[in-house]
Amino acid sequence: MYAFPTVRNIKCRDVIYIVRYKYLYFKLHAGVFIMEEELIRYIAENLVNDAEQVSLNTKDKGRTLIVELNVAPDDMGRVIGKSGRVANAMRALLRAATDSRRKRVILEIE
Amino acid sequence: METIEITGETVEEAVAAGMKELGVDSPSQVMVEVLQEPDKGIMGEGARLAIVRLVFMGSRNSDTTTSIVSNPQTSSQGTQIVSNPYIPPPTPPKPEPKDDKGQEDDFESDTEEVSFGDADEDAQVGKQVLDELLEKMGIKSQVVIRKAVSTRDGESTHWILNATGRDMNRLIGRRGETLSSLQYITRLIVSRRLQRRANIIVDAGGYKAQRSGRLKKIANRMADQAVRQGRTVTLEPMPPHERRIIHLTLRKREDVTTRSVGDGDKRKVTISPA
Repeated sequence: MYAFPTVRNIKCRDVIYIVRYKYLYFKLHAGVFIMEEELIRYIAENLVNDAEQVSLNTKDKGRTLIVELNVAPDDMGRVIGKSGRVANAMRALLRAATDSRRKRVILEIE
Repeated sequence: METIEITGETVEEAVAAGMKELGVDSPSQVMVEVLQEPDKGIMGEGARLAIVRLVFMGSRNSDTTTSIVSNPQTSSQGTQIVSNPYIPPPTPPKPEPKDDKGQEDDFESDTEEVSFGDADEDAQVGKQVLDELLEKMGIKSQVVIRKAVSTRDGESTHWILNATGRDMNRLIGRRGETLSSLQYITRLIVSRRLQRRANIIVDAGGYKAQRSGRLKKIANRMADQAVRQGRTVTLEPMPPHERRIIHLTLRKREDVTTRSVGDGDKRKVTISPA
């Protein structure tokens, strides 16, 4: 039987298990959204004046993925654009990128 | 994917009813296929309702509008797919089969491939940005730089960045909307880096090149129709660069005048006999 490792009895085998589990967890939960975040981050950082203040937060709501983009107040206009043109273009690219996974994706700018 | 078929007095009514049924509020969330055009019949005899098939597309393309093309010829041709998120819509069926003017000059043959080193700053930075964007979108493709050889009509002095690869349909989107967004974002980033307007066009798998050839054919055919029938012909809504191609193609013809009417996504070209 596999005994769950404690600090005392940790062994090499346990490390492998933990690493493998962490990797699977990453792939299942985090890795899935990283692409969406990175795409929006790349676009946003290239459009704003203050790239330091670009931050992203992704929430998984079952079939829906909510990508939240935060930028410095002065840069809001740059990521939204005239009548939301930039924001809508980012949404279109986000959708094209997510398409294959059959998940709806929403971009929110705050 | 949810599919329903529904009838109505007109195509628009049927679509509206179907959207209610599906619980969808935006026409962009459904794909519309006209199965039967409505027919008033003669004195109430032989009247037919419109039948449409709606396929629920989820939230894909949710902020763009689907246009519904009603064409009296559809019933005789069976079904016509009005809009599809993957393949460009078919050219509007011609009202009468007529000769094709052999004067379509396609955009592809007017361009030549340029190596990265020979391209100017616009194209080099453009390629870099586009490569990065595509990588981040998870689309594997190669970007080839092309340049117009001749400057016909004063257009195509631009650098064309053509992405080629497997996922091109995904990149083009319905009616090339995703491609337009990609070009918009690419231009914006490149212009910001260069601190001036960037002269680049983003294409995917030669979509725009093919589309331009087709649009020129449509333009001439519809102009012939306008002249023959002596009335104004309205084309389906198109994005700005496509309308531009129509205007430029018909500028040479003296028997017609063209205008753009409508707003935003619904802006379309009308062709009137001079």
